[in-house]
Amino acid sequence: MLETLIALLPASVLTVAALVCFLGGTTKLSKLVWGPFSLLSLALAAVALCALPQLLAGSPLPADGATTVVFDPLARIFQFLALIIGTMFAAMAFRQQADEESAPEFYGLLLTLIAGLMVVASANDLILLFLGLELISIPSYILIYLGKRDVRCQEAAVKYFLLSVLSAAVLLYGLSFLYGMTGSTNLTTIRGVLQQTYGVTNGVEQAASVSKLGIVALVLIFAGLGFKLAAVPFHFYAPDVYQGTNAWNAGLLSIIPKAAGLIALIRIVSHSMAGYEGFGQTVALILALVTMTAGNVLALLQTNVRRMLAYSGVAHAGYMLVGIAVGFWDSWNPSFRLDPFFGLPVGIQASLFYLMAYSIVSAGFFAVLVFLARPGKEVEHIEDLTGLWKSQPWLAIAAAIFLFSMAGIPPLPGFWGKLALFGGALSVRGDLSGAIPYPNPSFVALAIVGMLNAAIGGVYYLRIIALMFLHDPLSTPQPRGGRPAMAVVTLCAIVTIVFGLQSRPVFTLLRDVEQPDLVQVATTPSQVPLTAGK
Amino acid sequence: MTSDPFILQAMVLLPLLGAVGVVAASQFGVGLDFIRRLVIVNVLLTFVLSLCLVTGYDPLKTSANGQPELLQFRSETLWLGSPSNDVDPAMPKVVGPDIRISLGVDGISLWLIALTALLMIPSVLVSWNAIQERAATFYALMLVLEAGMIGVFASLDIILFYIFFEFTLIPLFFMIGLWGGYDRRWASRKFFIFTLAGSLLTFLGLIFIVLSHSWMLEAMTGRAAPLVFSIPHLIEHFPRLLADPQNAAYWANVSPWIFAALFAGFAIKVPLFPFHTWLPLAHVEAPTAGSVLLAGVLLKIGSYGFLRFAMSMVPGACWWALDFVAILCVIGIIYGALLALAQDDIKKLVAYSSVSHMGFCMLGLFAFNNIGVTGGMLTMINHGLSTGALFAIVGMLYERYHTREIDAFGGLATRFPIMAFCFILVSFSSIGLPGLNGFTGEVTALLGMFKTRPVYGILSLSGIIFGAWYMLQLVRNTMYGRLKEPITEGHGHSAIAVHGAADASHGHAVHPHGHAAPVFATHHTDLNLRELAALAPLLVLIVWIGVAPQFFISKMEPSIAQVVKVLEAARPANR
Repeated sequence: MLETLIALLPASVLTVAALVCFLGGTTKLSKLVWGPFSLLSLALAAVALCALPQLLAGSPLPADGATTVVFDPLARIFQFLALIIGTMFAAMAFRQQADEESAPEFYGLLLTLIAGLMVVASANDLILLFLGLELISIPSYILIYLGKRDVRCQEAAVKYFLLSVLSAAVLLYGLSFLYGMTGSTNLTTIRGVLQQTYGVTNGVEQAASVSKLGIVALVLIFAGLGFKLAAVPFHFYAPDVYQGTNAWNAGLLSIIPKAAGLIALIRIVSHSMAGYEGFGQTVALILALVTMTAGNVLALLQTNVRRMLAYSGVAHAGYMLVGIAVGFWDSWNPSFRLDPFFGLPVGIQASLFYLMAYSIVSAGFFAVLVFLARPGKEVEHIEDLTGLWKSQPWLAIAAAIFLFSMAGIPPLPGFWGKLALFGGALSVRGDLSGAIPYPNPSFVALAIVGMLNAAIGGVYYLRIIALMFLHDPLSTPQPRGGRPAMAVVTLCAIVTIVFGLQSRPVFTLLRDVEQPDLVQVATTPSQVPLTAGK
Repeated sequence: MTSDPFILQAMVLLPLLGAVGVVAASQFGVGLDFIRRLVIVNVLLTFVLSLCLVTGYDPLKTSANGQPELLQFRSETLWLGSPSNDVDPAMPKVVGPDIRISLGVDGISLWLIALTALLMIPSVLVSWNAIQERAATFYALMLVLEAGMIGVFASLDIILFYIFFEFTLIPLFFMIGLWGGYDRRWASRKFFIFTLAGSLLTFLGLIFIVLSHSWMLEAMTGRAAPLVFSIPHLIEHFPRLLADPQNAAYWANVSPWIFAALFAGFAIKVPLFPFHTWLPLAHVEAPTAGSVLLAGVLLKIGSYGFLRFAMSMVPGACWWALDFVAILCVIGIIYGALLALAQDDIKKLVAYSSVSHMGFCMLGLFAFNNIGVTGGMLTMINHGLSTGALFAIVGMLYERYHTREIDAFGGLATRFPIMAFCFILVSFSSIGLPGLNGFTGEVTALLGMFKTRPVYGILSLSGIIFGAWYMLQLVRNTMYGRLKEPITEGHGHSAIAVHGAADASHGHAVHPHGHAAPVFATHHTDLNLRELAALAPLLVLIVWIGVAPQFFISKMEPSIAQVVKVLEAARPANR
């Protein structure tokens, strides 16, 4: 019990800080203190995160995973990423929130949201994981509403609220099936029970066919988390919401829910639903194909910056799903593991790498938009960026770096991400019985479609770059984002380049993220899995 | 001269440092003059290094154990991934299980690197006065482009090759889009997107080669095999792997697909016939330096890619695709020439002639024999020289008159005798007059094709006739006949007055055809020293390669023989 609380310490720091913000908002304290305060609490959480291995040394988390929290590499890496993203968005908002009445609430909500992502990253229990997802959702409803107070923003807030609640219900319904099948909410137990019943152990399939209940659960979970990822066909809210709200909120929405959705998908489906790899692979493959194609084609048609970025975010979610599909194949064929010999992560690790690359670049580009925004006057049309090079040379260069990375131009991180994802897809084999197994045709098709998609992506990213550099400015922008936003842009640009040129440490880090080891679970009578027809 | 790897590294790094230096200097408010000098010094230094490379390259060098060592000036640094020691003792040393920064030249890339370094000199010199606005940025981009181009040819690692390959797009995109002509924005975007779309598929093919190599090695040795990205290692080891019948069957099945993927990117870059539509637009709209480099070097990345990857790694599929590619080449040769014949813009004419000439080059490469590939290689160099010079001269003409309409000119030989001499010499080179470089290249390329598939050789001969037709027509219309000059507009009167005074003092202010000549045309003078310096090295080489090609051929011969050996081994029985 104590070790669970210790493991949740970093998230708790943020939650307490958020409460302080909410309470402090009622006092007469200057509105200016809350920004630095939130940065301080994020730093404190980072310190707690660093000290966690030492703190846990006294009372370690049980190795059999019978806890609600885990502290594995996945949790460690993405808790850090959550803190970094939180710091960036807190800094970005400094100027914007300086004369806002609601500044303390604003920062409190941001801290809650980051705490939510940290909980998701370390949860090993369906209930806690769902709680983490809701900790992300609920503050974002309010943040969207606080962002801009016009009709479109209200529409965006209501739309996001209703659809998000619906998706949460769908997800919960799916999770309930999982509970019904295994009698446990603990992910390790679920994995163990499913593995014993349907899993492939030592190459021998345990059951002729998997339970239909699991298939229903898998589809519902994909649908619920697909909303978070903004995967087609659950993406319809994204363009309207991004366009309706301000750049800061849109940036936050483009990163945090996506990260949470991807991690939750990996934890619940990829790592826990043993025996359903084949079906999951098909679902992920189709979802990836449709998502990246629809996202890119629709982004091509947009003229509003945030709407375009919403669709481009959809497309990037599609790329991440490629890695998920490869990961399913990998764990489906344990005799044929895709080795990390690539020098690059494959499968799920590639997805996570892509997520990191996307987060940095997306945060950077939204920081550019935040910097350029004035109160009541956001950057709306992509032509608002026309001639940016003449008025803000450094900003334009940084924005171009971010866009080139999104387009996958080497040697930026987006390129390494795509290389890992599609290289992984190409190394998936078809028939394993032959002497040299041929590549799997459906994954080759996925890689080809993915490359064509990357080319389509190049078109609309390049359109913005062309507008920024090749045209004369239509008006002189009066950026109001202030130095902190500029600092975030600079930092992201530097990280993007360094990350691109020397990505070996990140690859090495991600290589530790592996399929968790199987734990033999003593099956109690209440945990006898249900099978279809019973 | 020693085979010091430092030379090659310096050739990639020097332009990059120059670019940084130029940007830094412009931040301190240094004048344009200083920046231009800095750039030309940098470019000349790189060129001197390339001369060291050419003189230091020994085609007959052998390693300690008597093996011929075609790759020289090699250097290697680990970049990504971790070195694996999991190497089968039966196989020779695995060069790299991971991504390395690995550079080196053989007889093929040697000349293309030298060509790049050489063409940078006229590119800088023709931009001297033409680029006034944001000149520092322009020159910085040009130097970055140079580093990228040299890097493409010097890379011995697939990932590194691809990085440089894509990286050449970005500076050229900005060069065309910012300093280009009227339709520059669309031209730069079309160029970028065409090349990107193709190169992404090519990349998929390259990755697949790497994966297949590992799989076949694994099937043969029964042990997990590392992924090898090293180009020379892959080329060297494929024949060994294919000795195994299972591997051979597998490779025969997948290599057509790999060829198709490689073809997508390289055919767009060359460009082969149906994929050429980006080229005239980009060439015409680009600033003169951009056109020179685009035609002179960047198109060669495509043919180099065919030579280095398609023909060396999937030779079987190349035989399979021979007729397809050759037909596209023939169509490109004839169609490009006919289109060139129909143009009324000089630059467009030269651009379409590129489509035709690159068809000859590809036809030579796809002859798959020593003489044909040598001809293809020579055509690559020749086309770089003559088309680069043609674009440079067109740029000089444009600087004087601000138009490129063929109909607007006539009888220029009387006004610009030196320019006319250069223009005519270069035109003859482009036509393929014996004694100049164009002849040696195209004739050897066609000879090669006659050996393999005579019908394509015969068909493409008509391309040479058309080539003579459009070039000679261009020469006659612009250089001979009655003097005809366009009326220049939009010039400040003061500038013209100064030039007029200078002309008067030189004593040729009197106009032979006063009625046709515009009032202010008298300031148009012949080539100055700078322009002459830009053209001189190209002209010297045009004659040199024409008269004594053996010097160039001798250095590339062993490397070409190696490629042809691989192709011969893969020759299907019924071909």
